[in-house]
Amino acid sequence: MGLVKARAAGNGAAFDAAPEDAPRLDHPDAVQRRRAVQALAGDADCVDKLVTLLRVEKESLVRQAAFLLLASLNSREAARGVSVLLSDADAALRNGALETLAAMPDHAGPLLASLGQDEDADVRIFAVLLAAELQDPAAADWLVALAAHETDANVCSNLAEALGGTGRIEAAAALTAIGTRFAGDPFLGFAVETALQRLREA
Amino acid sequence: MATSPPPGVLPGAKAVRISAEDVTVFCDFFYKKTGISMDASRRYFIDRRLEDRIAANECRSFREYLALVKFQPGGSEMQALINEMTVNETYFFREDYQFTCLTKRMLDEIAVHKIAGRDRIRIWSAPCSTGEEPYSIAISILENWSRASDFDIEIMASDIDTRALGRARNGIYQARALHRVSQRIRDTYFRQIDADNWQVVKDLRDSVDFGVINVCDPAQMARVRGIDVIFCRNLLIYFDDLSRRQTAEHFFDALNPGGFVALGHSESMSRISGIFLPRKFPEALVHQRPLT
Repeated sequence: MGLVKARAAGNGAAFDAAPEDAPRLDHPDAVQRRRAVQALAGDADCVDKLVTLLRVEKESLVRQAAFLLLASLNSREAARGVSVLLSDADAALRNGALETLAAMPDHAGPLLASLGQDEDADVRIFAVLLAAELQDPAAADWLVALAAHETDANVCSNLAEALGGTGRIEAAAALTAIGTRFAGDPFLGFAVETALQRLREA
Repeated sequence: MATSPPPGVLPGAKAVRISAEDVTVFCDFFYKKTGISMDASRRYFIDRRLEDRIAANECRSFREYLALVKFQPGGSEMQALINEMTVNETYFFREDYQFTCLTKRMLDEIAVHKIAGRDRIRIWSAPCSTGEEPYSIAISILENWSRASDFDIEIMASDIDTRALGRARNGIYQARALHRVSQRIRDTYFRQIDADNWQVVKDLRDSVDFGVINVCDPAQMARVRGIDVIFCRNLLIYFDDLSRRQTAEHFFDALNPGGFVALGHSESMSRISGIFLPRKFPEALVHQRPLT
């Protein structure tokens, strides 16, 4: 007993573990499902399989592995697949999707236009949050454009915060327009004024 | 009067200048290979080392050198480049409160799920640089864990820098690396070989298994399993978010259920991944793979 050298002990050193067979995605054990997710790297249908899995998977351990693999793919197909999850009823899943899209800005940015036209206001809110995460001039332009016609108060309150973070003076007009559109809403009035203040201080 | 070429430039060779675009291309390439996010603002550091490697290979341009690194069979120049670009400054018993936590808390918890006399405990130091950390772990266990003789304890140590690994295996250190080592420990585990150099005694050197592992490489990490404690300190600060998350996942897979990860004092697993449980011990905050 005591300190021994793994390789000298001839016991299958930890650096030389044998390859493991990939389990099935519907394995009852979450650790095994997670391994199945990791084994999808390089699979031609990887995105479809991961997005399908994420719609039903409840274990955070497995979800995180799936989102991480999607983020590492960093492709247009992966971004499109993940963006579909922004409309899911599960808030944790939507947040995971948002974080994953933010990790692939080159492919997530072009999706903003279609996300901003979604009938579901929650999807438009996530699109606004995504644009704020991307910190890209094109995303800031998109925020200004959406603010010009957005009619949902919740989307507009998120827009106000995001526009305030752009530091762009042209966002002031868009913010003022929101304030005018919701003149009777004290919360939005506060949100707009706070954002304008941030722009003035930028 | 003849003048000497600058360091790294062969006599008669024209020094290759590195442009800002070259640095960007290099940083992108190096990141994809190692997961290490080089900050382009460290131009002087990067330029000097690239110029040295370009001169050593007698390449006429950065592009020619990059092609050599990418396509050379065997990858020896890629390894030389990694050796140049990585930082290996450390010393014995650095952030030793984590070693105290290891011998006072973590090992006892791990031992609960092991059978004395049969099971092994595996500890991994990554990156181990020139060996100060794994040897400090070994000494801490021998000195401070009362159950050390109940189990076979394997200490694995890895780095992507083969030159550092060579120095780690030799176990020869200058006095400044030993400034936190007491005289008694020095007398027990080191032998002085000249005025300013000490060597770790052979038995201790032989107890650590050194190897090359890139923690960002899924294929290499798939070979690392059955670990009980990982020390990964001050490495993730060089990675970008995605590489950090991938490395956290690799560590999860490498650990046995209930195993621990110890990060550097400025690093936080909770900001990287939610798959570990934070464990606040009196000595240190560490991160545990859940038992179930």
